[in-house]
Amino acid sequence: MTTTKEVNAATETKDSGGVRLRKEDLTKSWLRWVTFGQAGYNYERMQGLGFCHSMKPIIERLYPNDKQGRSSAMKRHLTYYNTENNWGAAIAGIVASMEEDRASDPSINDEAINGVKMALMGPLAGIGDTVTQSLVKTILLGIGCSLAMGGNILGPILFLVGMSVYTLLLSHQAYFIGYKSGKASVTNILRSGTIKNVTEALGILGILVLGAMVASNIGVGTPFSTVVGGMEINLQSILDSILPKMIPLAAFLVTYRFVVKGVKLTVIIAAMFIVGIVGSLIGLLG
Amino acid sequence: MFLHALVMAVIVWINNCICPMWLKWSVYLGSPLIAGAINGLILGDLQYGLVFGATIMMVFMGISVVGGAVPSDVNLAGYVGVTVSMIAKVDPSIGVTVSATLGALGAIANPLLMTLNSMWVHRADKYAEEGNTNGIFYMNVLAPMGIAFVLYFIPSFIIIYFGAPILDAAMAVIPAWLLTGFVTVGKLLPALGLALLMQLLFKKAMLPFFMFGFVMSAYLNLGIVPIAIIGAGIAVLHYMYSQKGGAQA
Repeated sequence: MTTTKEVNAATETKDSGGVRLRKEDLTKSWLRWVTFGQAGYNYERMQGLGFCHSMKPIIERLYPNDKQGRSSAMKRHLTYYNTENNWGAAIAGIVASMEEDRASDPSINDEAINGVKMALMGPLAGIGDTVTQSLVKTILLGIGCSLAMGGNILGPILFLVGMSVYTLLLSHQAYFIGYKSGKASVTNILRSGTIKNVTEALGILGILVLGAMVASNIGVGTPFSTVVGGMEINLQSILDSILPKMIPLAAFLVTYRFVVKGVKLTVIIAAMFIVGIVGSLIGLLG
Repeated sequence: MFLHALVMAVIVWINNCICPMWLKWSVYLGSPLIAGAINGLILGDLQYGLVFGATIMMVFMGISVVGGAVPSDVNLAGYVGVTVSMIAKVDPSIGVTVSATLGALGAIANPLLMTLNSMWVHRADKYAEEGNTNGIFYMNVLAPMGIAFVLYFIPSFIIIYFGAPILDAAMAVIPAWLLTGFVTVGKLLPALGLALLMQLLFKKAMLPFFMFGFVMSAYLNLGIVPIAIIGAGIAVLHYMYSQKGGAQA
């Protein structure tokens, strides 16, 4: 499938006066995807139901009185499908435009439409999961938690509003870029350096916030003190004079090492219980 | 108490079926933080709720939903764990232990939901055969509500309604040294959440930025917001310079 072909098909449809989608159909389709794309999430077809649901306004517009057309379009989109909800909206946009062409041009077959879905769902899930969950969520949650920790109600509100605005704006943008520009341009955007640079920049911000959270949110310290030659020696203040938050940093680095080594999370949690309870019992941690 | 348990159980239920996906990014993935605020409002102690939610959130921060298989259900840990603990008025550090335990037990619910929801797909196939577009809406949105009700609403309600008094009673029986130990564990557990995040974000070249963040907080005692603003500045610079380089290549 090349760009030229797609453009030609689109122009032909428009010239030959086939049924065209309206702006409201596309908006409805995008909104259904970003709202219910994962409502019926299941192991057998993952987001297959959700994707088909997002095509409902498209199918109804293109095949108003054609039961057969509706039926085969629905079957086409009930197949296995799984991607990231926000970036993956681009695929729904591309497919909407292909369905629009297909309604009047039978040369666009099922394989072409399925091919686009299968080819793009993986790459968009990869980039989407990284940006949405590892970066945007981390940064917003880091800020939200810190504000809440200080007793500020803006913490949870900022996280809720920030995340919702991100997901609505990005998926809307992705859907309509997909609809207007097609597969080739989405692939180009993915391949261009811009996405990589944005990801790196967000990564820097994310890891900087993470470093700050290690210092501010791991509360463990030591209450240990002893009297040597009539002078009270407080272990915590000695450690603080070397490196403040040394124990939190150490706890973080040791845990990170275990995580990287692939130790099961339940084992790590159990170990933390033992270290914490024994440590506090002998008066070393607290 | 009945109403309180009902409200929280309904939230858990909605979160696992018809909650709009665009809202789930915050109310589901950020369950503990949001649950803390809601419980704080219900119990009339917002301050306690905010600190409580943020403390639990730190532990669950790195647990993402990629691929579906999670070691602990952040949603149940959040809404059920936080609610039970806050009704029993325990220290947030104890609440971490309660939430982590409930989250681990609850990790069974999501795979069950996803397995059972598979059956609606076959009904949807039939509706597709008939060209019935409304059928897709029924199968995708309405049908999963029943399963989620059984898997999420009922257990959540029971655990909150009966669990909170049990936890309250247990707190009186648990010896003081063990409670102090649990508090220490609670202070240690955020290290796990942050380590999991580090695993997602780590790149060797980015290590200096981790150190900058640490030093700004540990030595300069700056809050996360000013640190994030400085970080955003660095990120913009990085983007601008790398875009330039990319254009030449």
